[in-house]
Amino acid sequence: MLEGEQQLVERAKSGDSSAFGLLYDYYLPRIYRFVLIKVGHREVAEDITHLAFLKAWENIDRYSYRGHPFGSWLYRVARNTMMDHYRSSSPQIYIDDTFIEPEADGPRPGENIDTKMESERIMKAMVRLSGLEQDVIIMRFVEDLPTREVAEAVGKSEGAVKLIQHRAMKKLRDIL
Amino acid sequence: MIQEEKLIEQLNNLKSISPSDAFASRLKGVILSTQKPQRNVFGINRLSISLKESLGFTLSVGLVAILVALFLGITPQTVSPIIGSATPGADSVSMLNQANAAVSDIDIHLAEVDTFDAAAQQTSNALTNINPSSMSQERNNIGASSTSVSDDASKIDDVLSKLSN
Repeated sequence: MLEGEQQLVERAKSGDSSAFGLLYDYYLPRIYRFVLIKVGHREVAEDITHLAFLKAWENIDRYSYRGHPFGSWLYRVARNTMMDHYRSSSPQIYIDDTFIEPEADGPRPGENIDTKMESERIMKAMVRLSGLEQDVIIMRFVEDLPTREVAEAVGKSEGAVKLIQHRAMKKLRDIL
Repeated sequence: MIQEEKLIEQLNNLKSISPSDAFASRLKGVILSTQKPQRNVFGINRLSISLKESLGFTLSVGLVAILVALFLGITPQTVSPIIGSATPGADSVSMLNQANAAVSDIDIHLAEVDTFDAAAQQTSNALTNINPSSMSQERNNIGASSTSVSDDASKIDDVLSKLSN
């Protein structure tokens, strides 16, 4: 959770765009990563991330702190935006030209071929999970969010999240 | 089968995914240049919210009143005597009776007028068609004098002159 997050949220609610800019800087990589792993295509992920942050900025008044960080609410907005996207267009899997496609900025330092291939295998396996299972796995093991925050983001109880996580991990291990 | 620790490690490697700097700065510019919709305290937004709230409250109260009335077995028939005694002018039955009585009075008067009109017409017709000979015969029958008014006047003058002498 970002330090002083609640103050930033309150400032953003009152129309302070610079406060929202700080929240954006912190959460953009997380939300983008979450979306990209799920949709598997960079351009689609950018479009959805764009819409999700616009919605968050326009509807930030609806967020109220109830013991969960702003990030949980943002993940929820991103999930809803993805659902809207797939509702309005037929679902497509872009696994072949997805995550493995070259970075726009070129390869990152230290990034090796083996890691890329492993990541590709994981991505392909993730596609075979349900949407909810993908959400839980990404939030728990990619973003390292605690179960409580994941539960808030996906609208389930902590017990349900643990159960979904257990099933999803078993499925992934079976696939891999 | 892959070990869970290994799987978690591989999943954690996905953290290296990040948006391009160009996308991040472009999107930030777009979002921050977008005007955030403000809550309009005194404007239409507030008015619509207030209206919605007041309508919601009124509907709630109305619904509760109807439910209570149904629960107590109150119907329009049981309520009408109470309302009638409180507002006598609003008693539709007595108003209808009064209106009917007034209409029948008007009808009676109109019938009388018709009768008198018919009688007057018949009398007029009879006087127009009367025979003068039958009139004089009738006068003779009742012993009336045939003297004229001027004769009577001269007699009165005579009497008065005698008295004055």
